[in-house]
Amino acid sequence: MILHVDMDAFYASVEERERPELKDRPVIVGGSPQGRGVVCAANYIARTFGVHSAQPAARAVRLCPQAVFLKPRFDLYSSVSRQIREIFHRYTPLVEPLSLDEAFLDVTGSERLFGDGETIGRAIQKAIRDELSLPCSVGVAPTKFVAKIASDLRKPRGFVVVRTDEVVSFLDPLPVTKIWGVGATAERHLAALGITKIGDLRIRSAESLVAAFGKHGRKLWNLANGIDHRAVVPDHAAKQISHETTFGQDITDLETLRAWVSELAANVGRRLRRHHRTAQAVVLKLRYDDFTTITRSHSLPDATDATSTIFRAADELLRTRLPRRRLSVRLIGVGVTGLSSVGGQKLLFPIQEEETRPAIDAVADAIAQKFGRDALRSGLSFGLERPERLSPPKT
Amino acid sequence: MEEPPDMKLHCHRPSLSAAFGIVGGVVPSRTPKDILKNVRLAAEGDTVTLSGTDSEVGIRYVISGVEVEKPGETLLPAQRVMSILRELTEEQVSIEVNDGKVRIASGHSEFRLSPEDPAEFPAVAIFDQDAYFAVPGSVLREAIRRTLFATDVESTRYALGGVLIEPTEKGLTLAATDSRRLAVVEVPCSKTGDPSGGPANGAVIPSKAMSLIEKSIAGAEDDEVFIALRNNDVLVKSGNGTIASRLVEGRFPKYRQVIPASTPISIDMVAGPFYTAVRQAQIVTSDESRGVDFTFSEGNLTLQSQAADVGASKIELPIPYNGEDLTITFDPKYVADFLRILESETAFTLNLTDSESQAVGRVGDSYTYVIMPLSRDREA
Repeated sequence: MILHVDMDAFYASVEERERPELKDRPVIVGGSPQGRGVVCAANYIARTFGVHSAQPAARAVRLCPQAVFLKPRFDLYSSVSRQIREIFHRYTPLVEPLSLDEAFLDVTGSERLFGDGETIGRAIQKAIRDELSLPCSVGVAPTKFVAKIASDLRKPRGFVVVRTDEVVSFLDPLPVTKIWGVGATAERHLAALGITKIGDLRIRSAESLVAAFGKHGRKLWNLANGIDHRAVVPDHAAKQISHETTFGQDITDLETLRAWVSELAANVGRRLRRHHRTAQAVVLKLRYDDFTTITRSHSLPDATDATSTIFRAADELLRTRLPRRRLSVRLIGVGVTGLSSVGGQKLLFPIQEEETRPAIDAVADAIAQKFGRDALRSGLSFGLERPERLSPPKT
Repeated sequence: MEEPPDMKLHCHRPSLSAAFGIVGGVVPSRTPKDILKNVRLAAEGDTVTLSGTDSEVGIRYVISGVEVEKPGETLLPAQRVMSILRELTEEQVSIEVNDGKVRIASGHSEFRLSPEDPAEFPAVAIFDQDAYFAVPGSVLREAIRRTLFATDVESTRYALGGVLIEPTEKGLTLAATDSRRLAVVEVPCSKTGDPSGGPANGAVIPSKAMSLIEKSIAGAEDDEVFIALRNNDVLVKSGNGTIASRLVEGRFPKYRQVIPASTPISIDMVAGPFYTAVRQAQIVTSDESRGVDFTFSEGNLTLQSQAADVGASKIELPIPYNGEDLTITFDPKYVADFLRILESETAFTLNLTDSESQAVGRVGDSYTYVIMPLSRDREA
């Protein structure tokens, strides 16, 4: 079974734990009561007022004037995140973190030792509550797709188990927007075909969906039928690392896409460096408004973990290697392949280290670690709104 | 009655083929200057001189014992003529130029080619120096074999793509590094004249030129090789060849600083058995996890490797060591590269400090090989 463990209002919950006086009050992390900045996280009381992450603080103040605004403490959250991962690793080595506050766990091989998926899920939720005094929601299911939906269903402190024979009846009544990559535009497309619930998708023939959406249609049909073969891949065993984002509204402007490429390249580079790995090729992925998906890749002369090199390659692909057609993009992704872990090789003449791993990346990583990954961004990506939900990194 | 040929010679085919192989090593397969895809052949007296150049590195190579009926010169398309010489089966081959056409004949085979104009071919330098270093061919050949493999021709630091030749009080030092390992060989030499030219910090010779020098020594190991270092280029007379090469620009790293003067641990090793053990340990590594753990314990060296999705290996080797246990992780390729070029029975000392510092292999007083380990504190 696969577990998806998702911390409830993670930043806000950590702050509440650190300052018990905040209990029962609306708490907003990020932004200021003067209305500057953006909400990073809001606790559930604040959410009842309509406050949510990525909202401009000015709007949050209007919705909930009595909220307590806190400055984010990212170094604290990331150290708590490490403690959470330590708990995961007690039960399985197959932990695929998606961010500081959520992860997939494959516990199939651990069930003889610790009991079935439900038992392990309960034990993890209890350990996080007892040892770290933090709430989380857990989804237990045969696939990643279903486990992720399940963890989201009864938040906070949710615990949802979907057994193999329950998958279809579980998915059928849910809206299609629960499927990754189905945003507002796709929802409209599907609604035009009379498809609003996952069950509506399931009863269509796979062929008709392929006719309407290309290869992506096949994936939609598979997911609606509970078919999802993606394995839980621990970061250090990943064959590729990629980050992608789905837009609420299709993007038609090349400069905006370049800005996103810059942002995504920075995320990919940071993840490479965190795991002391280098990549030999850069991949750009684009999904158009009609679901046509293309990938373009570029091999690098030297393996790299430098954000600037990854960006330059992806940007070049974006500017020169796209098919001739109207630019209207719903999803963009930047990834790297050809990973190797030679980062551990020490050098006799470390000048080379500076040349291949620019000092600027080390500084950027330190800033991201301390202040969060939005604290420092490239000029190109400045002014982009963080989407409400970044697609999970695909591995 | 035919016109007399413009040039005609008869020659031992395997000798010509071998010479073409050496000179062909410099001929570029892709170049904007098509004329460089040729080898120039000049026949005179009882010799044939082949020359080739890629405009960075050039070589002249002399074959003697040739029957020259009519002296002259021509250009030969390198790839095609190399194939012809390789595929022919008879011992003798004749080459003649008639009315601007080349005819190559051997046994029942005959080839006709249309050569380009030899006057267009760039001149390849001759060895006209009177100040130079002289090194026994066999010694230089071994020194090149012991250093050349450690270069990194792909590096953006161009100086790492060549071998440094540095005059010292006692002789010449050859050094090469890709920054992960470093190979240094001291060779004795004699001097003719005052060969003090060349860049102040030593000359970096491109790998391609070093490889040509090494090949051209074949068959003339007992002769001395003459090396004249100049500010922008180097001229080498070795065996039957003369090699001229531009120097690599860029500063070679200060390599002497990374060779520890002394180390707390020194172990006597023999190349052959160690090489066998490393080769075995290399089998169960992958691009993902290249490291092999070398654990030195009393009387024993254990090599352990594991790679996700592949498996694990453990190889033991008795060694004369009686210190504390020490584990160092190396990329086994860099250890194997060193052991491969040593004769199986060669003895050397392996000098260690700790698991994070460079290891040093010393063969006698003249050969030093430094390897940087993989960091052991890296994340999983």
